[in-house]
Amino acid sequence: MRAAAFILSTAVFLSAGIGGAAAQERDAAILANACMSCHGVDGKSQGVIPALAGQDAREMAQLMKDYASGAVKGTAMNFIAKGYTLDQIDAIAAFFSARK
Amino acid sequence: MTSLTRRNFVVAAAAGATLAALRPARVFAQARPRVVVIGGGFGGASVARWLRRTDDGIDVTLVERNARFVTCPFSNLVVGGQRSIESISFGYDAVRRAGVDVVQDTATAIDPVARRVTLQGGRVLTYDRLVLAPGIQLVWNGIEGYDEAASDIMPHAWQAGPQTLLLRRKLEAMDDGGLVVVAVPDNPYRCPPGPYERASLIAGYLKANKPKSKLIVLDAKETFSKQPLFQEAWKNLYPGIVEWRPKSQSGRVVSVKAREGVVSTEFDDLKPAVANIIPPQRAGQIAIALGLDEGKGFCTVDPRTFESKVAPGIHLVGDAIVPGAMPKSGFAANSQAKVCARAIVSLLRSRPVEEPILLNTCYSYAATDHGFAIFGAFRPGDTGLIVDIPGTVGTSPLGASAQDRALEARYAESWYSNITADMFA
Repeated sequence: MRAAAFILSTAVFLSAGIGGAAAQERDAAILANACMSCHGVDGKSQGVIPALAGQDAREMAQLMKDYASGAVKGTAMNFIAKGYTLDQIDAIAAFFSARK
Repeated sequence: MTSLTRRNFVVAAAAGATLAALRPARVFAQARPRVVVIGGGFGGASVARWLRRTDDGIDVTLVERNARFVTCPFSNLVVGGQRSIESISFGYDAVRRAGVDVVQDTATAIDPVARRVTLQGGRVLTYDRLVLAPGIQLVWNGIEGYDEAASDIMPHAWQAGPQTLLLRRKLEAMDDGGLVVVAVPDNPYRCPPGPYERASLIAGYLKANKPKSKLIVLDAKETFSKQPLFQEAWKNLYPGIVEWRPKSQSGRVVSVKAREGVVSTEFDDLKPAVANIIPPQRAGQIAIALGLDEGKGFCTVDPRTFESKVAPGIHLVGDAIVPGAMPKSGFAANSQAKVCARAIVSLLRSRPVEEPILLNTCYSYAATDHGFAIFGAFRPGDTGLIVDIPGTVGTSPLGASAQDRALEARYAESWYSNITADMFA
């Protein structure tokens, strides 16, 4: 599962190509902005909701997938994570990982 | 002059049929596009901020009549005495610092042909795209006898501010042993779980301070949001204090006589010490005056752009729209606003409109250390309405431990800090 996720996210980066990073980030923003209602603008959270800014993209994506499958128990994320494809999860994770 | 009746609110294009034929004029590449946003709550303030965050080459003007915004989310904690009104009030300084021209005024006329908004103070604003985020208005006499004057005696407290404090004062003034009534309207209304959170937090105040008192929820419905979670909390935290009467058990309030203190359901007359009457609602008057609700009370929009189905060039977000599977919540308004802002930028910059996923989480407090929530992810459906994504809609579990409920209460606090910072910090 972890290896598969790594290959997937690598593929996303490769397919974005040189100069495609800005476009990829723009594509992810329409999804990532919604996450910020709980996790804070740019993933910088106040209080107990986890901050996403600067987190490791692969770990973040894996956790989202584990929430979606039920392998990890949470509250909101066991429901919310089911709303996204694996590619969308990787794109969102890459977006927040790039926030500092 | 301030009330936007059909008579005094000037709509230059006059007929809805004319509006539908309009197309927003081309934006010339050399000009800075202009967006006017009317209404500075969760929807409007979020659209203004996210327009600027997405493209700072766009001029954004936010028209809001009040200098400060009091959030409805967390206002039940003020009613219950667990939080101050100052702690849920926000100014627009940070919105201004983000480059938004914030104008404290009221729109008195909209010309959708010339794309012009006239303000009460005389200023005239032109726009390429207009966003209306007027929230709800209360339908006076939707419950017989419940008008604005009656709300001074029996507060609704469904638009946060002075009404919130009025309800709080009435609870404080009540003698121990008094009856409190919370009257809940039929769907659709702002914040589906809000009345039950309010009942819970008032019950907490009564239990601690006026333990011989009782609270009855008079409901125009048969079921309600997060019902098993609220009923579990009422049984465990407030036994003998909270009673819920659905419509089929004479729960629907049909009339009030505010001066006599009488609240009447279909079969019973009650004389509570404190009556909190939440009346039926519809879209804010500016949307109604423009005919954007097509006579239905709420406005239908395109779920990718939040552009009115009636008037091209005019977008709507928040409680004033028909939200499909989303609830009328501050969270939903904020999520819609982010999608709307990006769509407006795409339209102004001749880029394709993106495919969004919208989110909602509504936390409720049954006590300050007892929280639970309903979650959901949403997308534009084939029918043109917003639909939920299968598997994403659910609530906190029944039977959770006190520790888990306390943690969810802390999540609620964290959410409130983050979403209010999104708009006002």
